[in-house]
Amino acid sequence: MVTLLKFRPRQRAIPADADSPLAVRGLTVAYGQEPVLQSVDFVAPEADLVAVVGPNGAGKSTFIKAVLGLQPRLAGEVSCFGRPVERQRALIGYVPQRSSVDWDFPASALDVVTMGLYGKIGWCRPVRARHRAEAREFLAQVGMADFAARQIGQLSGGQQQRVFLARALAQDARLYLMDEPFAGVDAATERAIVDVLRTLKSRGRTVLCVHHDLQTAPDYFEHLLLLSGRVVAAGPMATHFTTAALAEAYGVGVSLIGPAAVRAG
Amino acid sequence: MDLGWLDVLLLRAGYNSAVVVLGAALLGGAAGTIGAFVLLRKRILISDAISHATLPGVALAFLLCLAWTGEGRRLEWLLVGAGVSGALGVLLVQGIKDHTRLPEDSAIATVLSLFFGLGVVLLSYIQALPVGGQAGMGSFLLGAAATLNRDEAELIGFAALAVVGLALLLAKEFGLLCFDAGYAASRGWPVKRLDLLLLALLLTVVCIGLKTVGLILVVALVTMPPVAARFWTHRLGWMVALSGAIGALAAWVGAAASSVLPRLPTGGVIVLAAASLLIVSLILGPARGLPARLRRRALPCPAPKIS
Repeated sequence: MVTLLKFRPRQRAIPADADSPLAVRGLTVAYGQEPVLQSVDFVAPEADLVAVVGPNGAGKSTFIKAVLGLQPRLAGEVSCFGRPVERQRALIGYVPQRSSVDWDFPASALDVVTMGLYGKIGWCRPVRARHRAEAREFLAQVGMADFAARQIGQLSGGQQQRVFLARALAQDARLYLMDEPFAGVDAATERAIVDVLRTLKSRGRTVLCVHHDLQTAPDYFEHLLLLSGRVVAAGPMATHFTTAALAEAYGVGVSLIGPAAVRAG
Repeated sequence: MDLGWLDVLLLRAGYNSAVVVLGAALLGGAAGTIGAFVLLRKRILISDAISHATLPGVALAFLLCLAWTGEGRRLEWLLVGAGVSGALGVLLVQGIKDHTRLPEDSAIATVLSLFFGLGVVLLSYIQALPVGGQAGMGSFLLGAAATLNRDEAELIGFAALAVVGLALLLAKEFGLLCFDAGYAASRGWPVKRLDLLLLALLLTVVCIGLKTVGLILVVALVTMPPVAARFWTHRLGWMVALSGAIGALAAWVGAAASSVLPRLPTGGVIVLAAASLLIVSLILGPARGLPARLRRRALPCPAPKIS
């Protein structure tokens, strides 16, 4: 019975956005009885930096996890470069929330970055010196070359975040999904991450970042996905990051200062 | 019998004793190796559920084997029984966890006591049977390496080697699973199947450890070595290797003691040996033991960084 269901012939027509890095249609997710996301439609533009913004409990992390298939989808389809996301894993880099792992784990910064190469190394094959050398380069790209041998629990929060970023870079993906990479990091790390994001964009990569800071969102990102259990606004930052949209997503009383306020106008 | 301690430890007390001690050491090595991964996966308590869940299987296998062959105590039969019933226990824990809102520890406590209760009832029925061969059944509770014969020790040794081999072959994958299962799943690694395989290897270790360590204490042989190993190193590879070595050493000493003083419960001796190594590691371990703690205290308070 189960196997029969699996071999169901494909009868869907190919949609117009078939080749975009990420196309989400009608994505609905629930925890138990409680719906978290309702029929989310979103198409990510190629080579762009997308901020996934919204209040607490808006389903931002859930969105990322459901896209990756880590959270079961109640309904909806997710495709990556025209094929189901499950078949495009090699093209997708994931940076989980820093709090999702135990930093007491017996591993060095370099060990964690090397994990990004495991897919390339393959089943049952050992990590070799050349893999470590390769991983070292990615650590250097996030300014962490000097900390390669450090046990990960002895790094600061920002440094841990950069290690996670380096691990995602190591797999050379075309689409990156990052869950709050800027959460609780120091200024140096924030700059390092922004540099990495811009480099990725310049190389034609697409990045989706769950982002909490409304002040910096318009500076760091060109594209917006504003969530609050559903899509409140989605599109270029310049036209969609508006006070009206923010008020709708956050309820009342979002006040912005500085350049963000000017943009949101 | 006037065998010295040293003779047994050094495998000079005859071929039989040497095979038993070696088999036990391999078992300890396998328990330490798998234990390291299970501990890092934060599922170490499930080994206690598995070991207690094996008892009804062992008892039923004894009865079946008795009915079939006229002789109840054949290790292969008992091991298969233990494996099936242990697997059922794990599935039940998983089922309770998935389909109720109970946390895993409650599920483990429930399944553990349920299966153990059933096993104890069956065991007392067996003890009252008017047949021979049930005398050794008590050794499944507390372990008696001295009651192992050569074939049994060889079976245990080879199974342990197979477990260690598989664990080392998949060390990279298991490490990734233990550190960051979500990331592993996002990259397409079959996280559920890896978890299942890890549990299957744990189940194997528990089953082959029943006769040597006893089901009540086999959890210690899986837990103590990796905990001790963690005090010495910050690297996964070293931790797994050390954990295996500590488990092997503890089981070696325990099995040797058991063949010199057959009335000592092997499991207890093995656990005491493992606990001693754990205490030594706590005191001397450079990575996380007392030295590390003292070093940290000796450091001056770091000045606030101004950037």
